[in-house]
Amino acid sequence: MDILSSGIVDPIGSGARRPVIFAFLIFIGLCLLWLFTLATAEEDSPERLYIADRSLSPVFNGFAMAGEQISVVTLLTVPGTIALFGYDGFTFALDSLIALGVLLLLGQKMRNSGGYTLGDIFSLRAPDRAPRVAATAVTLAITVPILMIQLRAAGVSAALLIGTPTDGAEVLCTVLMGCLVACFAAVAGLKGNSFMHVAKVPLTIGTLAAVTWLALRKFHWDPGALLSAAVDKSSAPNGYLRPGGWPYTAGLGSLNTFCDHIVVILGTAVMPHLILRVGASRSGRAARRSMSIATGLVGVFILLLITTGFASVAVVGATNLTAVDPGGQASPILLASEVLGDGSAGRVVLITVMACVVFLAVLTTVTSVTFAASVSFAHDVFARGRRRRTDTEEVRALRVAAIVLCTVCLSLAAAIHRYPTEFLIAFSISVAASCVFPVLIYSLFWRRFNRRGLLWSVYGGLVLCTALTAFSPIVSGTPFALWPEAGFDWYPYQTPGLVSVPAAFVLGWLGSITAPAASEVGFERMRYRILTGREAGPEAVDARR
Amino acid sequence: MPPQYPPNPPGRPSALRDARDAEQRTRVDHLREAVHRAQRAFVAVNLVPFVVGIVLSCFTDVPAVAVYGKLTLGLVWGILQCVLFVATAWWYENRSTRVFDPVEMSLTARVHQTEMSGTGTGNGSPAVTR
Repeated sequence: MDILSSGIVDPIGSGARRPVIFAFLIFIGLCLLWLFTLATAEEDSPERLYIADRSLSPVFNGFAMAGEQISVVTLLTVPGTIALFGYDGFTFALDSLIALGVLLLLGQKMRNSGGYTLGDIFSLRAPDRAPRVAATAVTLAITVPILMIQLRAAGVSAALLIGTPTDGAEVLCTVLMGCLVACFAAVAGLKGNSFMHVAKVPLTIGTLAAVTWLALRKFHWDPGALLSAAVDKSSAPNGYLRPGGWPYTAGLGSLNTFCDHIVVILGTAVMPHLILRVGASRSGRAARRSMSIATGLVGVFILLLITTGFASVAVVGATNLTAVDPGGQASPILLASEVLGDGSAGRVVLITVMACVVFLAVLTTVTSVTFAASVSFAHDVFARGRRRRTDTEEVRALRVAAIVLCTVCLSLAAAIHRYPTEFLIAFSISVAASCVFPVLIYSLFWRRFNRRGLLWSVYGGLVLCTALTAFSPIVSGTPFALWPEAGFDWYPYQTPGLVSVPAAFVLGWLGSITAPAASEVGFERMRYRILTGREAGPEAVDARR
Repeated sequence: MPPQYPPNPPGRPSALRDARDAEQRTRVDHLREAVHRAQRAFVAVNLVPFVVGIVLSCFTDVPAVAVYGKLTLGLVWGILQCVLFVATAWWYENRSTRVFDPVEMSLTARVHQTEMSGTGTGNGSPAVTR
């Protein structure tokens, strides 16, 4: 799966190009204005900058959490995979929604624990420096690949929308978007970014609803006719709505697909930027309520994405979709350009709004991920060094970390511009599922879990993910691999999760039972805290248990 | 390791304090059990159809069975799963707000009251805001 690896086709047309470029420039101008506003409000308190002093209301944070799920990759990839691969793409779309269930169940506990970075969560049962350093390493292992993919997708989609999808323009757009993101991540803080997420949600849902409505109008309001047209215009009409259309499957196909679903759900639920957002809620109850609100909004978003995917193949046709982009990720943009007649003002407006949605999705999600990684460095490593740091120094470290991280990811995104990036997605999600999820479950629920178990689980999971990804079919030996001609793909699954997630659980268990047991009272206190959000007094903790 | 709590404050009968502590612990346990029960129900209701759907689509051709026109069983199953997920999330939130939150608030209010009145033996129990 190669995100928007487009050929030289201009789907927008010269009539709509000028308004789209104007809209893009106005959007950049507004963003810069917003940035200057934020920059003048100097925030020297780390917690105000990181988690808005835990002041976000359930509704506001629920919208922002839904906004976190509307990334440029989700927005473009999900309809694209549905448009080209039919039923298999459809089943992957549901994973993003189901992943929210994990956060719905764990969000209140995470917020009640008082932590907001992976380091805080890891320190629940092992409060010293090593787990925090491990947490920062894991955060970087998760966020750097995501940033590379998102920045590249940003550059390619921006180049497509301004009508010059050439290699040079794509790299230039990637660099420009990356610079804008670096400025935002360094200056904006969680609250500033949250406002943009909140604005993005209704705009995205409204735009997708309008596109869907116009596509249905083309088929005389008959969803059955739309689906029939989608099947007929797909690349494989006989197998379009059957399982097995997904082409990126190596050996052990069915088990591979099953494994992919589980890893995607577990991995996407425990991303560092989502944990940071849960920590910004006013209380555990507010965190749970915001997750419920986000679930409803993301449910609507996913249903609209599914409809957009089927509508795009029904209206545009698979041949035209793949002519612009072999992965189909241009499908929402192409659908927006095809549902209204050529030359109409409505068409120009629709494409322009879609362009703004894509730009906003890029800016907000990449900023969120960069910011979460920078917070992890400043809060878990820099502020916990041997020398005591002032708040001003910590905030400065965050800003520098954001700029350095963005520069590194930007350079990597430009360097891998012509290569497939599926291995980066698989690696990032597998690290989250293998290194964060088991530790989270053990920390919150297992009495015996301790420091050794935590470090074994985290580092074991990380090493396994790295090694298994390197020897998987997405790196060598298959047509969609990074090096198709090479052949060191002895690990049969595409994602390392089927091995690394159970192995991380086993390592956590083994490490814990071979180390001296931790304090029972400590565990009871932690259990009380994650249940009520308050420190336990002796009246609430029975030390005999 | 024995718990290191401060000694009983003077002027408070130990038996009364023990009874209150036991009641508090019972309430905490009941709350924890009730929350876990609701979470288990949420997980079971969503996990079963999800796993069935994924297993069927990975290992069989059942999802391709036509239900109405081009609409297949797999598509209907997926959309219903989506709706079920949102509905059960709403149910879980509703139940938590009605049943668990008042108990949690009464627990924490009680601790707060004890702190305010200065009769508690606790080591301070501020809300976790950091």
